[in-house]
Amino acid sequence: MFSNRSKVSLAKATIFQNNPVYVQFYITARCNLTCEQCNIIYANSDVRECSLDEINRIADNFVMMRVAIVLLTGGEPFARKDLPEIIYAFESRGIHVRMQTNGFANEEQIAKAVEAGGRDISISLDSLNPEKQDNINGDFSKSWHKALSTMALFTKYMPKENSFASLGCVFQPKNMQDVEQVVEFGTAASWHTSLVPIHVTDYANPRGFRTFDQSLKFQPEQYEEADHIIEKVRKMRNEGYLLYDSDEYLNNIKLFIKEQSLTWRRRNENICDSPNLYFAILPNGEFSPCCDYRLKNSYPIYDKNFINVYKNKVWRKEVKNVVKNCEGCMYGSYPEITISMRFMKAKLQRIKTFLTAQPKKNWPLSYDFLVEKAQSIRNKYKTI
Amino acid sequence: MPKKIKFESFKNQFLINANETNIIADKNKWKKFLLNLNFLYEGKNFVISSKDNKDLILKFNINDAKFYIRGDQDNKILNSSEDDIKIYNKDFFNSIVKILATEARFV
Repeated sequence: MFSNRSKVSLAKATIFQNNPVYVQFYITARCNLTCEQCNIIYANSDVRECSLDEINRIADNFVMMRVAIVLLTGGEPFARKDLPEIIYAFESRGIHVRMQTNGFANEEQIAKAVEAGGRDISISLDSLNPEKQDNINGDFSKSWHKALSTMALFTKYMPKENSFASLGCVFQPKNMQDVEQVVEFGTAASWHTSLVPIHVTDYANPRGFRTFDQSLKFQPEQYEEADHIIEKVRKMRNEGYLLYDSDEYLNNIKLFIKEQSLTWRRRNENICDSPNLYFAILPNGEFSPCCDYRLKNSYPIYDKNFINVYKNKVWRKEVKNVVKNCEGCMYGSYPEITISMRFMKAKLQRIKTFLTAQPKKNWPLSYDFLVEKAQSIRNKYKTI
Repeated sequence: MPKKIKFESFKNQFLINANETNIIADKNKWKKFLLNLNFLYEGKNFVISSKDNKDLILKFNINDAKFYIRGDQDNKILNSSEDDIKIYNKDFFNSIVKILATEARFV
């Protein structure tokens, strides 16, 4: 699935922890849903989007910087009409593309995205209960059914070999009892599941991705149940269910929801690995340390000089001054990359996931099959 | 009911700029003030009020901000090397923060 270039970059990063193997590119802030836990579509609304020419220049710079993986995210990436060209810009240069969607991509868009080289997809799915999912997605009707329809289409167009499919599941009080079902459902479809605990902030501390809605926070009386569910999905993973998350990451979810200090950064003086191992790009092509923070100054990554900027010590100090004051996040990929690069057990687990233990895929799967499978899993859990 | 995207964007951009502003001397008091703000969507207006000060009500036209400028269409804005939209919005929201800070007697 990864090009040789990406494999070499990843291998170097595991040893030296100093090349940006993973970049989150927020190619648009536009979205056709307003999920209650997501704030990034508003936080990134103030900048223009990159042109395709600028994106090609970003891809050129990524080659020089040895970037291995770029996540194309948003907003809804499929809202961009030129998404296939964007995918091609990176894949044709040997940079692995992970696509993300809320599930509203149509068949033509999916076919073109795969044809352009996309072999790695993540779809948001928080529950097997359609009404609950629609509510989480901002009270849009049929959004759950659309997500399953999109899953089916990806299993139709993506190759069985050398491809990766995952479900992004936000772990919050409203759906925590559904998470085991999502993992079981994903496994039945040969899709991994990855959990992200809900991130909440307030008006005096705005952060790019974090919702202001205090009612979505875990309450102390829910901590015990949340811990119990995390342990149950950990057990499921150990039994062979396709849960992507490492032990260290799951442990940190438990800390995060209780607002306790995180431990995944402990091997780097409690600072994350931005910009050494990962960073984010705003829709206008500017560098940002992550989805929560921006720099005061503007550094477009499509600029020819960005490679020199990236190596510059003064610039690195500017980034460090931002990230060192962060209380820490649990946005899936950032902590998991640090954990994979700095913790041996997780490193081996990740190698196994991507290189040796790919699930046998019973693809293509029909939409009807997925709906029935979801229904049967829900019924099973009702009786437990 | 789905959230109003322009309203939420306006609220978010206002709060980001309000938290980054350097025109306020007493930062702690300002942060407490921000925590007690209310935001409403009335017609085309973004309305800011305060739980601390019932006389403080400010209205701004939501359409004066420029949001979600596309990159996948022919667009003259994309030809500029700088992001003029970002610069415009920064100035616009800073001016709102200044008006609020003045009305609430922080400056």
